[in-house]
Amino acid sequence: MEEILRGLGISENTISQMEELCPNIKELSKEEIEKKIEKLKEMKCDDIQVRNIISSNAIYLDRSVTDVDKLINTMKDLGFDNLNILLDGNPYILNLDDFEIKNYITKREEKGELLEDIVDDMSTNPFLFEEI
Amino acid sequence: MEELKKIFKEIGYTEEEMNEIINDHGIRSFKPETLLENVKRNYSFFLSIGYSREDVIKMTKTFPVIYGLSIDTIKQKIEDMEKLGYSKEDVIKMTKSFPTIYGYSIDNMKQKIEDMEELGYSKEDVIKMTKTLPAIYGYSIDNMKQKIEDIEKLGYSKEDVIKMTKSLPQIYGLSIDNIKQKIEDIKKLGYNREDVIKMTKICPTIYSYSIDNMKQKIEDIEKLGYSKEDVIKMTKTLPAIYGYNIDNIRQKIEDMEKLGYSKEDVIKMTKTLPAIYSLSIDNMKQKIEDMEKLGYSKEDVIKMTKTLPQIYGLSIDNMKQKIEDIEKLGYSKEDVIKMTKTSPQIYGLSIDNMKQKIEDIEKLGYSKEDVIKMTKTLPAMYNYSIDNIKQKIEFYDSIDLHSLAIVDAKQLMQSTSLSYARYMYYKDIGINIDETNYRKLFMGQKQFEQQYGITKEELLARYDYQEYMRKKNTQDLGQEVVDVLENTEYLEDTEETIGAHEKDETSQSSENQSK
Repeated sequence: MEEILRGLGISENTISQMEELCPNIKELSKEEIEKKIEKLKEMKCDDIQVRNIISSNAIYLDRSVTDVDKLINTMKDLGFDNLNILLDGNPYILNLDDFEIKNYITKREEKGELLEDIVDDMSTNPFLFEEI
Repeated sequence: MEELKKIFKEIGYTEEEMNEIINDHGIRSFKPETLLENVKRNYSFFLSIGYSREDVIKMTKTFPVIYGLSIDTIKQKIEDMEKLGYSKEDVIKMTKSFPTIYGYSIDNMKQKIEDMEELGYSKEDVIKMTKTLPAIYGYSIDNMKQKIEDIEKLGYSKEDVIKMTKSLPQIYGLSIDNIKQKIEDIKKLGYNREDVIKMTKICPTIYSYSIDNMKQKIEDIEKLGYSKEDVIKMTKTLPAIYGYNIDNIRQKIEDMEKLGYSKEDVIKMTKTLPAIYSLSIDNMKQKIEDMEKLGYSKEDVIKMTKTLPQIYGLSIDNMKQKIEDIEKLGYSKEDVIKMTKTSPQIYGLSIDNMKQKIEDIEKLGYSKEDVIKMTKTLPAMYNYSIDNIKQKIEFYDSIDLHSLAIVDAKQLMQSTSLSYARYMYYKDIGINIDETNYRKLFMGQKQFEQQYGITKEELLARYDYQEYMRKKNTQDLGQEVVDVLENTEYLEDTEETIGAHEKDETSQSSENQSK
């Protein structure tokens, strides 16, 4: 596991901080980590973005691929584009479930906002995902 | 003989069972009259000390010799076993399932306990194990040693086997082929061999579940809203789930819904921390109350635990200590509460880790006060890796916006790729970004497109940050090489040599010219 993380350019110090935040990552297989890196690359994340996202959010590595796929597909359906840019800004979005984003958007829609505007607002201000 | 048959029939034996008892090699030497007396006497005695009619029939079918024992012998055996550490109830229970114990001498039993102590168990362990599986008294110590060795070969240490058999002594009753088959069957459910070994170390009881039972449990849990992949992952962490009643799991979900979570929340939380299923709902209510006393609202606690269910695993003293430690870094208690509401992950960080993060950011050109201010606005900075922060800060430094991290830390959340692309675009159209108009970098995408007529895709393709970084790094590397070379004696020596050589050549050429 550590070897792959080092290969991404993540320092030893950061790896130990990642393990502190998410001890489960020590148990992950090489394949599981590679699958998660692949997912990010599918979203057109470049090497720097992959490093930023994984080194800042170890929990992502421990999430189920099914949940991550559901989240990404839902976000795309809702109109989020350039997910690499969004996730580079707020890597913790990857810890959300699809229903959480849908519920948040529904609540704002109920207040009269348009989906397009909400998505634009969230894309511009990635910290809004912290409200979810 | 007729009377003997009559009494056996009255007790409830079939004729076949009666014949088996009468013809047992330990009984057949008895005269019918003596056996009749023994049956009447022992049967009444067993009923008087707590066995049922069915128990006596079952025991004597397995071990007919019981009808050959005197009441004194039986009483003595119970007393002797009480002295070993069993209660009278234990002896009754043990002999119901393994009546042969009445045939063992007490010295024999003591020897077995000593032999097992030599294997690595304490006397208390042996007493506890034999209460669960009295048949252990019937196993030879050599067979037990062999079983330990065979199990070790499957990937366990001797300590593992001792620990596992303490909690599931029945393992001694399984053949090694049976264990191997169980491992193979569990693998087929979606685990790898290492997973099975690890799971059974944590929860040896898995060896006692039928594979159909495990399949059914997976299906039942899937119906609650998990994927099979989730169930496999959860049970790797908490294999005890296989022992949970599905109705109890449903009940826990309902109880948590009453606390303020949605069903989806509970499913998500338990995927991250399956151990929630092992917490009592009262325990969870208590944690919420305790956290309310720290300064959070119930809604805060619900939101925080959705993000970090591990909070349910932290003791309240631990949380209080963490708050105090963070205060010592330069925050007020209110700050800590506010920061952890937004970023509960802070509770998962060690204080040394946080100190290190402050020092690392200070090295990027900020004072400690600046860092405290930044992290109050953007507590997630404690979760960002320093490489990520460094990249962002270095970019804003390069465009003279060093103070952005202090005055508007939240904007650091925008991807540097987008900030770079917008900055370069503005530059190309003649707008110079500085501290007075930096907000232009963070304009809403829709507004940006309307105002400048360029989409995000076009912008990012035109001004590729990674490409820029690659060139910058190459240039930096080139500059570094020059710097290194300029500062080495080798270069100086070489330059001197070249200089001297050139001088020689020049003087030689002038000499030649003058000639």
